[in-house]
Amino acid sequence: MFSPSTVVIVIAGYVALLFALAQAGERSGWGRRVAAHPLTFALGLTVYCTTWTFFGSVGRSATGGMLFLPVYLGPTLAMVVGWRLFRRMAELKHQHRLTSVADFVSARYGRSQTVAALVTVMLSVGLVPYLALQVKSLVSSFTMLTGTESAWFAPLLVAAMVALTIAFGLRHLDPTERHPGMVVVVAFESVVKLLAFLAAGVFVVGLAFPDTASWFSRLDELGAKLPTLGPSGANDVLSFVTVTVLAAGAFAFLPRQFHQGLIENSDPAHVKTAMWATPLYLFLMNVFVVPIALAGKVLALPGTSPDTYVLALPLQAGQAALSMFIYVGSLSAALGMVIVETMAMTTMISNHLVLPLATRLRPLGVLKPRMLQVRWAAAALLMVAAWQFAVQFGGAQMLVSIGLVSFAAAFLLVVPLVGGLVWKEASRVGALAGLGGGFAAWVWTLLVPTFVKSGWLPKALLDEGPLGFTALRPEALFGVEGLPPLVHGALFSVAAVVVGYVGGSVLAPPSRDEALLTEAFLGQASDQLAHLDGQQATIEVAETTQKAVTVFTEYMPADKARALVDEVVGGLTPVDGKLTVVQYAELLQGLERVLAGAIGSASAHVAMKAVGSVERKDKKTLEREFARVLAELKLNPRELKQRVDFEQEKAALLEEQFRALEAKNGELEGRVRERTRELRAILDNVLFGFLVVGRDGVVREGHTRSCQELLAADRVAGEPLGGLLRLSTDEALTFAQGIDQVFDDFLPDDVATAQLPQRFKVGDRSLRVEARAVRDDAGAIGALLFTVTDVTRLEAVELENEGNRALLNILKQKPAFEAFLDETRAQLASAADAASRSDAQTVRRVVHTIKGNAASYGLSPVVRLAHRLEEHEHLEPDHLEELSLAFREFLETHEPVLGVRFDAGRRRTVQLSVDDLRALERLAPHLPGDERGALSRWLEQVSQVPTRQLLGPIEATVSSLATRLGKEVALELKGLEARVDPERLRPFCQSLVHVLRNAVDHGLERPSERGAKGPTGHLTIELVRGDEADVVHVVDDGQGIDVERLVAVALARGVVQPAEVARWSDSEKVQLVFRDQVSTADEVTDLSGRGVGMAAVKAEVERLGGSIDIETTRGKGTRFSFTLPKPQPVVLARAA
Amino acid sequence: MSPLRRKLARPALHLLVAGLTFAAFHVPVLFNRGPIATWLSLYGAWAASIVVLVVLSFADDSPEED
Repeated sequence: MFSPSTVVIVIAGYVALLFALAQAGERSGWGRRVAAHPLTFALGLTVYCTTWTFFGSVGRSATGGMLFLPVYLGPTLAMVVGWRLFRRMAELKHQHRLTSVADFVSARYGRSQTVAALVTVMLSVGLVPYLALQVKSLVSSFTMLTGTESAWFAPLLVAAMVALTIAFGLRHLDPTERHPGMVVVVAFESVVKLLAFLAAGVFVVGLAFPDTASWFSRLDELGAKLPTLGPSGANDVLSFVTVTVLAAGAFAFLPRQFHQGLIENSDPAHVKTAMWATPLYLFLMNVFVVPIALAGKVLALPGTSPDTYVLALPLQAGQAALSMFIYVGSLSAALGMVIVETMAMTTMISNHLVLPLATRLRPLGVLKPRMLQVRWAAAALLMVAAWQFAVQFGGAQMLVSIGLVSFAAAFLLVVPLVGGLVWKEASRVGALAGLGGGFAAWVWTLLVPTFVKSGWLPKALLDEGPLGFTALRPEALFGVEGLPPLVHGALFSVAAVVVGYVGGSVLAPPSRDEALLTEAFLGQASDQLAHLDGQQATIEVAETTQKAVTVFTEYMPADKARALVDEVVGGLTPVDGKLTVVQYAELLQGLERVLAGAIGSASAHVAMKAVGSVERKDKKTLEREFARVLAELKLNPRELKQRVDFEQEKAALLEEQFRALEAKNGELEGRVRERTRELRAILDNVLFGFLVVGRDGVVREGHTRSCQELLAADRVAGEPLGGLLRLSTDEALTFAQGIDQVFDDFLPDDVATAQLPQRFKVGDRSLRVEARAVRDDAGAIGALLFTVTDVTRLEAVELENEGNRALLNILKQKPAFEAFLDETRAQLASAADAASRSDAQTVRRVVHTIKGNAASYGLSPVVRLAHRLEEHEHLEPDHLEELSLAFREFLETHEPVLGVRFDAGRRRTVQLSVDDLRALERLAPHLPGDERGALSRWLEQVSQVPTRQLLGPIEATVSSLATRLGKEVALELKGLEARVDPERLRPFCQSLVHVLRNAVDHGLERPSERGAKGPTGHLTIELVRGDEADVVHVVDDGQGIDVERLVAVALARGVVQPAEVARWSDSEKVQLVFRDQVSTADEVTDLSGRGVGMAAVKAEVERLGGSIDIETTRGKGTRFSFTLPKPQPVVLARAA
Repeated sequence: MSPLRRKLARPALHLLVAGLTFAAFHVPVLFNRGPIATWLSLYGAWAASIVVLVVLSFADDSPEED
């Protein structure tokens, strides 16, 4: 036995140690590295193991055999089935700065405050008893350890728990901020509680069974002392299954689990470590439960509660130090749970209960700037409530059963959370109906019986139902009798959630506003205002900024509010204090996101309405902008909505169509998605212009300014439209005749205007020009209104999508396609013979047949070429070879998808080795001119590939890295269609991925750090061909290389000597990036930072005899230029 | 190795493994052969599931990790 003061001193010492660890976690580099380690994350999730695990598992095993186990099997199951879900949720949390599980649910359902409040109430009611269990366990074990009941200990313990929660987790307003100190503390506590329990297990088993051999030989005999399950037979099996499922859900959605798993998650990739490490921890934590229960049955003094075996047996054996260690272990289990759970709950209570009330009720308005203090008060209230709950309800057994009831409450969130991620049509009404119904059923079937059994409510309620309605008996609802209470309650609660959720969503589908918010939350929103991007900045930002600061100041200190608002505004780079319409929308969204980090997304959404409500002046500006846009689009608002709907439906159909490709080929699917997004963006960004032309074909005054850009002309008015469209003399004449025909007014307007050509090429731009007759008051045609639309990118993307559809078509009919290729080869061979015999008719027939068949497979390049060839009067064998090349090129480009080569059919083939090719190259200069040219072209075709092919899936790599690092990166590829020798350049191209990863990981900043450069970082890869050498440039506009830091790292690692560096210029110093072990990265990640990858790049460049040049400017970016000399003189160039 | 790691990332595989794990956790309870046998079987199934999770953690579901 210990004196109470000794135990308190030990507790105080342990808490002091935790404080020291928290400080280290917050302030030292070592601590931050530990906090960011994946194993620390995995240990954080074991906050799941509370004093319930420490004491309750052994007690439950002694009385119910294996019934304790599903609580720990559930999380293992959750990890198997749900790790992708956890990662998706972590990404959404990072994206929307979500603060809690209630915030997450409400954010999905239109940022509904009602949903958030309901979830908060559910979890508060469900978890107070769980907190009570921790207090009760620690007080009971303190009494056991000291041998006396100390009335002062419980309030002291509760006060200490509140203080620790505030100190470790509630010191800052922004709950999305990670707490490395707390993370380290929780991980440390997890290790302590595991070691303590293992030590107890080893000791107790050794004490009870000193002879290991006898332990194994006596297993069957000992087993007779334990039941396999409880006394209820089949019902216990049902309970086992039910608890497994409930535990799987609770492991993910209990507030403390959600907080540790998502809010404190520093890298979604850590989930992969946790998926095995956390279940392994739970396994080890439970490995001695059954042996201790068995030993307790054999050794414990009569009257000892099985719940206390783990502590009672060492005490009984006089093991003071071990007993104290076990107590500290249980203290760790309780503290970890209480700190994290209370922190998560108080965030929800303040954001979703207090704040909405403070906003609506004027007298409570004083609380708004004091939300941090509100959280402290809520923490104190929660813990006092838990303590009083423990005092009033007393019996530990009752508390243990309430622990499972709490699991059931958390499980109710599974339906709206998981459903909301996979079912877009789920609505706020459905979520409210489901959660409300489920909560009501949970209270009635699980909570009320608990109160009845503790004597707070009359027993008749269970036996006879309310007011004698037997159908409403809480444990036999609607006459369903005989089930274990937990199974019965869980069944009805979950059924109520599902029925309410599905029924509510079907009967009251999401409104348009809610659907837009949902799409924005799930990342599917198409930026419907994007087509305005680039318009003039017309909206004053100062007033909105001031209003935002005022709103923010209601929740935080004024200086912090100003800093946050300035950060958001600064990121949008206003021009003369003004923003465009799109930027204005972005400003409102950005402000709301930042505020959500402090007060939750639902409250932020409400609060921001005050900021978003525009002043009369701004309203007029917005209306004017809107009207201007509609005028440009020639649409009224309803038509605009229809257009948007149509485009969305079209995009949805496209996506659906392309999803079919996913199963067939991942690479194709990725490309299609990218192009579909681009297509949507193009549709939104299309550049329009309007001009008016008279009968003379001359453009009149009053055209839109965009026409100058579209037609690449400084002056448009007064110029003939035919000239502006760069028509030839004949074409201009025809065009003028067409205009005359419209003005003649003999034909209906639409028929006459349809006669005019509509597609034009002006420079690099493709234009669609559509005419509409404008009639005067007398009904005569006074002018023609032309709509000029830039369709350049649209055409390109449509072309690519057309190609993708062709690939899908080919994949579906691959055998037929291969037969077509065989046939084509044979036809081309016979056509070549015919051409040599000057049999033009046969050749033309073959070409036409090939064109038709190629069209049926969507081989556009082949069709276009065949069409062009058909216009030749005399088709030569070279023309047929061109056709072969077109096939070969198409199939080579798409070989990864189609797996077919033009030369690899059933026809007899000849294989050439690289040596053969080299021999042919040597032969080429000695051939006559024409043959030399043909051979050289052929050699180039067969021995070289586009550079792009060698780089692999770099778009996907960069995009994925950027997403993972929370960055926005625009990748541009230039000149990569140039063909190069794959044997020679493949290793270098593959090594380039190191440069790209470094650029994304260390070069480009996060959007919030880029300031005036704009949120999106730019990364360009460009191949510039030269006579003597090719140069590959990799350029980013990031933060540049910190040369001084690079030198410092190199010196610290002994890679270079100070005297050596002193002689170097900056351009020489920066070359250190290519040395092994030299990196400016703060930490080694799985992306980069080891300083090895860049060395590999340099080795490849040196192998090719090339050189590297680096230009870097701090804050502006870095350009790597890799000069790769050409190996041998080009055959043709030197042949003449 | 990479194709295998990609196969490990298939959601259908995870659902299958989850189903098997769920079954493995409950078969010993359904076929109750006494407390010790049930205990050993359950812990055996649990340990095996952790080994499976270790293997699944090698799943490659991101393009850059090729």
